[in-house]
Formats: sequence, C-alpha cells, structure tokens
Amino acid sequence: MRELELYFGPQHMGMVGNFSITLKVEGDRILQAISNPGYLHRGFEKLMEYRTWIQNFPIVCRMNVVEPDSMEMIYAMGVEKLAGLEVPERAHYLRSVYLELARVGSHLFGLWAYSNMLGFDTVAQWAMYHRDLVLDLFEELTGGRVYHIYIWPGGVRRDFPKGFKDKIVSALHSIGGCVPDYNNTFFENRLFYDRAKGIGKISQKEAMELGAAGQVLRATGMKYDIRKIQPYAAYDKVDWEVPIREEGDAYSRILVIRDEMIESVHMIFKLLDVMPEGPVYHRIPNPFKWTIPRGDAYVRIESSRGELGLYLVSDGGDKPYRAHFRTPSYPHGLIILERLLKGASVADVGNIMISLYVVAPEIDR
Amino acid sequence: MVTVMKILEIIVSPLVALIVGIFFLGLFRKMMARIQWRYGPPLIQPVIDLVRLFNQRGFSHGAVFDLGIILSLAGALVLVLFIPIGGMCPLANSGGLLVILYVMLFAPIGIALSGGEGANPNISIGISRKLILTLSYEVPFIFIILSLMSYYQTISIVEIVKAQAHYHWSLFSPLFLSGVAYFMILPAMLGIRPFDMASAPQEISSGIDVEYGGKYLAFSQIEHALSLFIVIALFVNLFLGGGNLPVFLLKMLAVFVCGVFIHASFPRFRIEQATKYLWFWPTIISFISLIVIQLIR
Repeated sequence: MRELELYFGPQHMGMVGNFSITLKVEGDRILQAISNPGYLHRGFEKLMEYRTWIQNFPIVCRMNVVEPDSMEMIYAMGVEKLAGLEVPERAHYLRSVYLELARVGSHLFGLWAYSNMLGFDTVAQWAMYHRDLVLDLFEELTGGRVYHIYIWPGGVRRDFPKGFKDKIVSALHSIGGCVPDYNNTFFENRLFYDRAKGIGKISQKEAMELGAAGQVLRATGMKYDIRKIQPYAAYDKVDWEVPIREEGDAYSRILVIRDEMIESVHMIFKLLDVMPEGPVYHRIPNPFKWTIPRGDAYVRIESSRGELGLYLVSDGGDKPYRAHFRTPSYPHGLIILERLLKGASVADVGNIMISLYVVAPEIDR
Repeated sequence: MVTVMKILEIIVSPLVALIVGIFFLGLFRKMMARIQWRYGPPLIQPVIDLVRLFNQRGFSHGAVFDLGIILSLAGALVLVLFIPIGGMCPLANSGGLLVILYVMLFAPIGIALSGGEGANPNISIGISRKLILTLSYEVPFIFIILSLMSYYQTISIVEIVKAQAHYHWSLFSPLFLSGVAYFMILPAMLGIRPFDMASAPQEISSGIDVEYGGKYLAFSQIEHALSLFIVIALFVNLFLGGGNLPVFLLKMLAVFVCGVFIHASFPRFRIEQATKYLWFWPTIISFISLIVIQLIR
C-alpha cells in the first residue's frame, strides 16, 4: 500500500490550538507521528528576564490560554518563596476557590474539545455554555474573561465583591445540575464508549517513566496530586478525594476529568463555608523598585492538566535572573502522544491528542 | 395535454426536490443550533451560501475533477424523476426500484472520481470511507428492496404507493421489519451522524469536500440537498404510504426531524464500527423480513 504524509494541523479543522502533527500513514494506520509545537513560540522564559517581578504577570498568563490562573499562582508562589512574603489566611481560601473555579472552566473546555473531536457538537456546545458561566464570574471579579491576573505576590488583588459568593453558588448549581444530562448523553453513550474504550492505552509504569502527570497518570490508577502530596493555598483545610481510574485509556482519562470537575465543585462549596474573614493581601514594596534577595526556589502546583513546576532564580536584582517552567503538556504532547499515535488509526489522532489534554503554547516557551 | 403535463412534471419535480432539500439544510442547522442552546443562522442561510459560492471562482484539478461532481449531481437529478413526489412521477413506467438501486451509486462514484483527481490524502481517506460505507448499507438496502418487490409483486414505486393507499402503510404490514431496517440505515444513507465519517471535519478536514471551492462546493451542496430529499422521499413512498403533495411533504418533515435528533445525540463511528453495525442488525433484520415475506407469499 502507498505510504502517505498527512499533516494534522496547524491548518486542520480538528486541531485545537497552534500545534501540528506530521503523520506517516499507510492506509488507515499511522506508522510515525512527529509533533511540532513551535507555532506559538514567543520566548516567554527569555522575555521574563527583561521585565520586573510584577511586569512578568501578563507574560506567565499567556503560556496557557485555557487556564492562565495556575500560571499566576505558581509565579506568585515562586516570588513569595524567594522574597519570604507571608500570605494572609483569607487570601489562601480565596486563591483556592479561584483556582478551583479555573479548574472547572478548564475541564469544561477539555470536555468541549473532546466531544467536538468525536463529532459530538451538542455536548460540546453545552460545555461551552457552562464554561461561559464560569468566565462571567471571572469577569465580575477581575474585569477580564480569559486572562485575569487576580493572584498577586502577598495575596490576591481584591476581596470578593458583595453577593459574589451567591453568584458562584448559583453558577455551580447550574453546572452541577446538568451532570446527569452529560452522563446520559455523553459519558454513558454506547457510541462514545466504543470510540474511547481501549484507545491510547498506557500502563502505569510507562506513564511514570515518560513523566506523565495529572489525569494521564491518575487514569492509570496512581493517586498522585500535588494538592494532596504538598498542599498549598487552602487545600489541606477541607476534605476532598483524588479521583482515579485503573484502565489508562482515553475513556478513563475523560472520566477522571469529569470526576475531578465534580470534586472541585464540592470543594468550592466547602471552602466557601469555612472561609475566614480578614485582610486579603500583604502590601509589597513599590513594584518599580522592588528587589528580591539572591537565591533560587522551586515551587510546584497541580494545574488542570497535571503537575506544573517553576524554578526561579534571583541575582538580587529587580528582575528574575532565570525562570524555567516544568509544564505537563511537554511530556504529554511530545513524548507520550508520539508513542501512543504509532499504530493507531487516522480517525483516532484527535481522540488521543485531546484525551492527553495538550496545550501547545505551554510546550514551547 | 398529457405530454404537456409530463414535460411540466419533469421540470417541476427536480425544482420541488431542490427547494425542499435546501429548506431541509437550513432547518437542519437551525434545529441543531436550538438543541445546542445557540440561536443559529437564518433559515435561508443555505440559499445565501449558494448564491455567494456561485459568484466565487472555483479551482479545478482537471477534466475528471469537473466531470465527477457533474456526474454525481446528474445522478441525483435523474433519480428525482423516478421518485413519486405526491402523485407526481415523470418517469413512472421506466424501471422503478431497479433503476433507483443502480443510479443511487452514481453519487459516491462521481465523488470518488472527482476526488481521485484532487490528490489530497484527506480526500483519498474520505473516498475510501464513503465507498466502504456505501458498500455496507447497500447489503441491507438490497434485502429491503427485494422484500418490497416480492411482497407487492412489482418493481414500480408508483404501484407500491397505490397499493398502500388502498390497504395500509407498508410499515404496518408484514413488511414492518424491513421498515425498521430501512430506518436503521437511514442515517448512513443520509451521511449524518453517527455515519458522517466520510466528511468528518475533525478527523480528515471534511474529507471529500476539502478540495471543493466556489462553484464546485455549490454543486456539492446541491447534490447533498438532493440526496437528502431522495433518501427521505424513498422512505416515505415505500413505507409511509406517500400521499398528495402536502401530506407527502409533512411525512418527509417528520422523518427528517427524527434524523436531526439522531444527528444531535450521537458521536461519530469509526468506519469499521459502522460497517460492523450495518452488517449486523440491519442486515439480520432485513434478511429475516425477506424470509418472512417469502414464506407468506
């Protein structure tokens, strides 16, 4: 049979984001897949060395369009650790609520991408509608829908406005109320089960060797979540579970995403109930003259796609000396994706790619 | 007078098919939008699109590329003349079901010819999917047609419609199982979900349509509208008793709405899953129906 070269992206209707996979196919089988994430390379890490500590916030956000909030959080945590800044108690809770809201929004985006990839527009559009409810909350809180810059070294930029708590509750109720609909139409749909079951299967050992994190690892039965292992913000203040599955295929990955979303909604309710009163940030010095003592720090958090790490070095100046991110999409989008695509069917390229939850700008920084 | 009527019918029936088909395309988008909590485009959006596409420059890959799309469009137009549309059937006495079985293959073959000239790997995958799908639904389809022909002892659709008008619909006769099987393969014949893998945008960049632009895309859209009409009209004629024009169109609308709901509630099959499905339940049901008809006749 004739060997063909097929370009899956960047100009492909199935491609979500600036990413491309060059496929060598024979008939319907893929012989080789090479991913290319470089279409959105903007040199973030280098740019950060030329901007002051505070000026870097708009840059870190843009590394991940789907969930910029985890990027703000990790950068703020890195700066706090280097500068020895304390964060008030209430700010920890606000950060947790805000990050969990972002996780729900991000997972809904993932649900949109996945159902859309399987040609299931109906569920995709429902998920987008629900994501918009979360974005409306962000818009009221920060003024921005996609990029918010709410988390700040020393706390958060402002407290929740009056009546905001009720708005969060009502938005989450309307999302949670549709979970049975999602289950009936999508997760328990026989056709979806047939499409996703056994596709892109990866064993726990292989996943650990290749540096997988997040749903990819949790879907293989490993209870690995930074929020539990090394709690930050207020994640150790309330009770919550880490959802896992055993099978390690695309179907179990999307189910882990669903369960995490439900868990996050419950966690937000619990956090809102026990949230203390008090100040929301400690004043930082004049940002234009703010210098941070010499030193280095490594911080890590659990983003919606997996473990996110940041190594930050200061040479005692007003700018970072070096910033380096460990992003979950790097092993998922480059190493695991290429390996899982080998021998798969052309119809399953998007299926596998989206189930790994690859966000391209994160890979090539 | 009879000749004038015949000529008039030959002109009017493709027009009716075209108008109804394009209206269905518009309604399809509107209904899908409402199911998905969107507002949706206006009903006449497909007409606006066609007008714009006809004014755009198309790009040709050669003579076969042009002829292929014309062949599939011509096949669809000729097919309309063989199908009774509310008592109007210009070519009632010429072949009936056998011709339909034959001419229905023109559309996929024309598209395959045209796409083969395009030399885009997405098209070749799309064509192979389309032809495999056609092969898959033709098996139960032939059993269904055979059951109908042996039950009514005729190959003329007009005769079948008349027999239903005197007695009752085929769907409520011993042909019930054939009707069920036809309804099961209907989404595959229409090319809607879960059987839209030949033009899957997310997998193969719309497959067979990817190289069409301007007039070619417009022709492809018209062919799509006509085949939508033909498949539903055939179902209404063979199993729901036809009827005069308004009744006929209402029955078509009902079948079409069922199709939209099926489209809205399923993801896409992989091609081998589609073949497995089509060669299993619909084939078994239609084959049982064929045996039942042979036993009672």
